[in-house]
Amino acid sequence: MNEFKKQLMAKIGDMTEQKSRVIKRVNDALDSKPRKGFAWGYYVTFATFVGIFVLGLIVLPNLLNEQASLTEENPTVIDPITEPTEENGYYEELKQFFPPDGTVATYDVVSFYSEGSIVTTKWLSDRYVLQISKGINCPECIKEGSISIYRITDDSIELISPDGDYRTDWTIEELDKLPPLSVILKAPIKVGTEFNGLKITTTEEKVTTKYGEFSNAILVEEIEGYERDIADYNVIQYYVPGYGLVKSDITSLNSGSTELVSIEFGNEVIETAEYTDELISYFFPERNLQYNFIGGFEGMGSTVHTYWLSEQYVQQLVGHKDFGIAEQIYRINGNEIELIYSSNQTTFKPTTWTTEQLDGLSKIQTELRAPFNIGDEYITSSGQRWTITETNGTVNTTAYGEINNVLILENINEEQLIRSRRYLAKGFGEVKYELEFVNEENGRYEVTLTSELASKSQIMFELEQNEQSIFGVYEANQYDFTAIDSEWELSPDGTKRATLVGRAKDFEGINVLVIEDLATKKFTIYKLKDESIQNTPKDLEWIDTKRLYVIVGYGFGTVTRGGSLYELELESHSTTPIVEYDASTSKEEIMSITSNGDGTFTYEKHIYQDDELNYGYVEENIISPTE
Amino acid sequence: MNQVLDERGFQKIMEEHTDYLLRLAFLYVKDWPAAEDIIQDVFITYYQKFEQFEERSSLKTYLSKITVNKCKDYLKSWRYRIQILTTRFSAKPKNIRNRLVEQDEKLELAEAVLQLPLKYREVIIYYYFEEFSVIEVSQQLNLSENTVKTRLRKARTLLKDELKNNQWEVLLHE
Repeated sequence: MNEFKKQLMAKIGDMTEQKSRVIKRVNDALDSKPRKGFAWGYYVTFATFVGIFVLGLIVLPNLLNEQASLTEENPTVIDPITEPTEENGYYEELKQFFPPDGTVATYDVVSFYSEGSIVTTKWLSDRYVLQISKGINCPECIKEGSISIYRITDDSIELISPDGDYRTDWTIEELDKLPPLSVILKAPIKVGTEFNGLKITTTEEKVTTKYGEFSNAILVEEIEGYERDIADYNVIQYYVPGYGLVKSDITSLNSGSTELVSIEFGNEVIETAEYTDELISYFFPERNLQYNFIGGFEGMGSTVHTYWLSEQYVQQLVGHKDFGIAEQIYRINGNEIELIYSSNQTTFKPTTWTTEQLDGLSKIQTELRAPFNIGDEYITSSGQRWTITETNGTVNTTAYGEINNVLILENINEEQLIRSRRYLAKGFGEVKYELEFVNEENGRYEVTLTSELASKSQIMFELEQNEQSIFGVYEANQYDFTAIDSEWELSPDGTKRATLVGRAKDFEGINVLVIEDLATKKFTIYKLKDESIQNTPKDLEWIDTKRLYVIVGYGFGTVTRGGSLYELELESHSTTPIVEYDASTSKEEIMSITSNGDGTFTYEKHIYQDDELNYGYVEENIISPTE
Repeated sequence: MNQVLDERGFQKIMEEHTDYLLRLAFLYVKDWPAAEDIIQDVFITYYQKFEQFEERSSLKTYLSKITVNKCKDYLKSWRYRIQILTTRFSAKPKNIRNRLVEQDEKLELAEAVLQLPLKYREVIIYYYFEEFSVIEVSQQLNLSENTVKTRLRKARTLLKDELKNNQWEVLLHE
């Protein structure tokens, strides 16, 4: 026997079962009075129609919320019919017939080989969907499952995966080149649409599956008299928007059905372009905020400053009291975040980068890739292997409670018996880090170190402090002005502007004085050094380009109307008291100060007449700053 | 001409030909459920239309031809497409014993043959598996001898690329 034959015979193996089954079926068929042209019997049910389409993306949040109660109850009714748009045709309508990325559905299938099937859906892009289908209790089935790839065009869903190709790592360019093998569903989704000898006959059919009852199924049936290469073969399919194919009945010599038993929805399906947003929301801290972590090594906490250098480049300064400061730069590259620079720094002052320099940096490692799938691996430049173990997890933090929509990555170092986990939360970025060591006594991993997000604050870094000043001085590249307390006041030469931020106007609280250099777009922040006395800057007025008058007083209550008047010098950051107010001794406080436009300034002074500070009056005085 | 197909005769025919036809169908469609369906259909067709069988060729050749035609129809069919689209588990015909054999022998050549495009796979099936001559293959497939030879050559090239060199050398020297 030649090697070809030998191997093929070995591959085919023993066929006793198949043979007796065929003979029995032929005899059964002939005994039961064969219908003319009878064909394709029983097994059609085996493989067929464990289709998969499902899930309205737009309605997904609802579905997810209701998921817990869905199994027993009637699923939500969704109206799938949308109008075609000029740009994408019926794309939006059709894409509802696939479940979101990561969805796992089980189907009951009548088969000699398998007790059912498990179908997993992966979105390769907004136009391509890959589905892996595995048999349940099916020793004869291919272990990895069979692969189907679909293309969602503007008017139909096409099957494009080549026969016998089990690859899952297609590039979009390769997929673009694959010809359609057949049309699975065609738009518009309304009664009368025909494709492949099938026809949509109603869009409001009631259907019961093991999963639940649906009242809005789209019924697809054979077109009567359609000449098929399979004679006397009939099929009925039920599609439900938000669920896809939930049931199919096959009428043939033998009949059988396939139906949805359970479905666990994955992540919300997102457009390719939105992958970027998704990545950012899981990976980076909220914009303009400094993240303060507690715990960590020696329990000293750490601080993370994140700067958006552009929409593509993000600079991060991570500081720990013992380890110093690390500067890292990330590139957002389509559906990936890449680390492209990492080095040690001595201060939190961010280094300046030009776009050319950034463009010239090459990838050190991939940090995160969308869409997220359990089992995705990232190998760091030092050889650590991080694996996504959860895409929709939760994490508990002391400061923010239970956080949902968490991506969990795990790294196991089996040699050193160390396990670490990172928790990336949507809308937060990384919120927690855990390190586990094996307890030598019981051999179990135990959490030995935790670092978690405790607070968020404005990002700023300390400048050299002036001992004589009442203010600590900081610089920031960006600032959040949502709690602005006063209008911007432009410096006399128009190069700078100043405002008070922290408490909204007329409310209690502590402000900081922020000065923006309009040329460099940098902010200098003056924050009172002694926080214990709860003073705040309350009013300001430019003297000249380099100096300001600032009124500083108690930040809470209504007893005090103002405070002391200081002169702040912007180059040395020094402060000089002009009129000092001491709540314990003085009955006079400065309420406001205004330029007269001639180099002199008028301030309002409130003077209490009684010791109980109940009665007082306001007087105006004029001062001239020193030259 | 055999006008009456008696029941016993038909059972005998099935008994004799099922193995062979199933193997042939499997090599075409690479899917057991489909292969079984096809052979079932072949026998029913034969049962219903046996009078059309003119005994100009052997029954084996006749049934093979129907089988191959049905396999090709199947590969073009809607069911096949739908099956790919849904749950083509591509069940393998292995019982445990065979699986062990396969693990030992590493049937890389067989795997490679099954991965060939149909037009190359089919000449290999006839030439090596059925052990037909080139002329017989050409008659069976309604192709010229030259086309058969060209396809065989191309098929071997494809297989050689697919297999490790040393393994291929072993095959050539057999």
